[in-house]
Amino acid sequence: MYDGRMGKREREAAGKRPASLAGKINRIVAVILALGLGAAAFVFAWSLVEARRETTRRSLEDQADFLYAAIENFMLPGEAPIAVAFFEDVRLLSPDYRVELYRADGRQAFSDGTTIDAVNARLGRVRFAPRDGTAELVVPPDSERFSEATAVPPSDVFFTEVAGGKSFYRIYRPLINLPKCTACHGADHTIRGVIDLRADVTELALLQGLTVAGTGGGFVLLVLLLALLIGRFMRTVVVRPVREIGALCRQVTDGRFDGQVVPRSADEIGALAATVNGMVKGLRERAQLSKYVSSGTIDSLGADAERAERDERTLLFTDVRGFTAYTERTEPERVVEVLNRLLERQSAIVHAHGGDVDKFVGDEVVAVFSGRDAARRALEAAAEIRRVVDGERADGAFDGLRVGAGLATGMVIHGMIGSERRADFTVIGDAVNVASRLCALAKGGEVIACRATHDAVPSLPFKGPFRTRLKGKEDWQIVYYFDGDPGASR
Amino acid sequence: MSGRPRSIRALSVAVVFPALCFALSCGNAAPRAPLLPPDYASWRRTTAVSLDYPIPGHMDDFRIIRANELAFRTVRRPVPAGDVDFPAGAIVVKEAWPRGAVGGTPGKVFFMVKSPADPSARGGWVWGMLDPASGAEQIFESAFCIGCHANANEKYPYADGNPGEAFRDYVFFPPGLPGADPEGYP
Repeated sequence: MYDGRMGKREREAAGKRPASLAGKINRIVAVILALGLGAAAFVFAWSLVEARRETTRRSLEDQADFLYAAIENFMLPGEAPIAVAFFEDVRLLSPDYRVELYRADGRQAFSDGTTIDAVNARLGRVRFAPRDGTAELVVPPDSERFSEATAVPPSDVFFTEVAGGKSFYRIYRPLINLPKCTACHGADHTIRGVIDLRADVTELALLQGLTVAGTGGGFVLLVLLLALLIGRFMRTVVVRPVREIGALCRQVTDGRFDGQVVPRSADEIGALAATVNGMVKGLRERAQLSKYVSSGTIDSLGADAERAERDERTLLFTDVRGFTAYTERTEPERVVEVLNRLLERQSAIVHAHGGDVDKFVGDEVVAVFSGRDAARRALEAAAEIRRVVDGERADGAFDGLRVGAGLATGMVIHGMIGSERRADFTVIGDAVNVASRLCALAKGGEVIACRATHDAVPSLPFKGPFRTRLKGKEDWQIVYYFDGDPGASR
Repeated sequence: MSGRPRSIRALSVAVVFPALCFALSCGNAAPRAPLLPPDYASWRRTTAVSLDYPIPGHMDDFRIIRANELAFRTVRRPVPAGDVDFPAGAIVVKEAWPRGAVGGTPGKVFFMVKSPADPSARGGWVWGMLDPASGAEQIFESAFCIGCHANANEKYPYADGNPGEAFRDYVFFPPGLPGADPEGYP
């Protein structure tokens, strides 16, 4: 039950202009492309950056391993001065590359006599010449990465660093106090020191940035281009045909059945266009057929044609008075013109009052009214026909012709009457005969109704009752003359 | 109208489901089964030497080294005459107690399991540590363990010192060293 309150969607629907199909398609295409290609571009750029980072990391690790092996082999025979010289040479290789060696406490190795003094004391002889100087503390004791590299178990620590406007990849490689080292260095510690390798990757980072920016720019252009192409394609294939079909449907709604859609493709849209064309063609044929056949006949085409039923109906017969004489003195073309005009006007009036023109018999109109207020509507239709014909008669539209009308109400049988080759959906019964006889009785401008029609709406302005004899009826018949104006009785 | 939410749902499924699969496929592998059998403490010792002197990596913890029966039985050549090559499945375990807290449950248990086909193996051994308190095992894939134990394949300052520099398969105290009971030490 409607409670007077609008839901969120109803409010939105009421406040917003309905989104077009083209707009929806464009949005869906843009979203799918952005998500799909965006994900692909992101994964590509991310994997590129990671691959370069991983390659550099592995390279630094390999270099650290080489240095580790070199140090181990220099130190074991007691050739620490060679190791110092080796480090000095490595430092000179490239300005973008730096290698340092720290003790486990973060101080610069080989820069004072601490280690030499300890080794000499452990060996009990002066194996290495004492050295003066103060070791510089290079790595602060609270450095998290350095602590990680010197913990037990230790681990290689790779990290990036930005300093002085430059980007670096850096690795801390712990030096283990191996069992074979303990003869000189003692066994009271596990980590001897840390190799520090630092590579300047500023240019690499710039290159990565350019690559990512290029990928992103290319992605945006690709999305725009594809959205444009797919959007145009969808407009041509889907939106335009749907709009044409919609326009055709609006024409049909307005009562025009002469339009058609040209199917542009053999797909579902094309099939829809063909179906709508067929539907419009059927409606056009039905509209044309209704000019020649009663709507009851047309309706019966889709129903059980063999089924006959008995129902109450009000029959309205009209006939042009003096028509035979008129045809003898008038040119045939004029006769047809005036007669068609008369029948057209009467037919329109019958339809306007909810009646159905059952047939035209020469200059005679047979109309059937059914349902609620059938008698009232039939009488009003007859009165309006009289008013219109008499009114236009003064203008010469009908060459002075007038019509008489007879109405009868009663039970009739309606169904398909005729042969297999030719049949009409019509009515038969006593009321049909009575209405025909009353029409024959009526003079130009007169509307005569049977007693049943009068009794259905006795409040209308009738004259009568009058008694009359009708052909085929043994008893006197009670009839009434209807004087009503179609507008006055409503 | 149900068309729009349905299309959003379909779009969500099309985007979220593959992303979820991708994320799940990048997740950690399933944890491996424990490598160290629970009865390791009953295994025989490989040396009678009192291992309470400081060494790098284990410092001055008191240590007892044991090996499973497979390691005892299948050492292919007698030590120290030649090389040692433990078969797959051999396990050497080192219980360690902090100085001053010797006895009862060890503080840490280090182990090496011969398993050359294992992706985590280095030098044919999988190196790990058991926390007896929690029962959790930690596998070391870095060069730390093997870096020190590689010294067992050349001269080293423990036991007999490996004077012939025989390949001892990264074990400093293999069964059969001079001074060690051939039957091991319970």
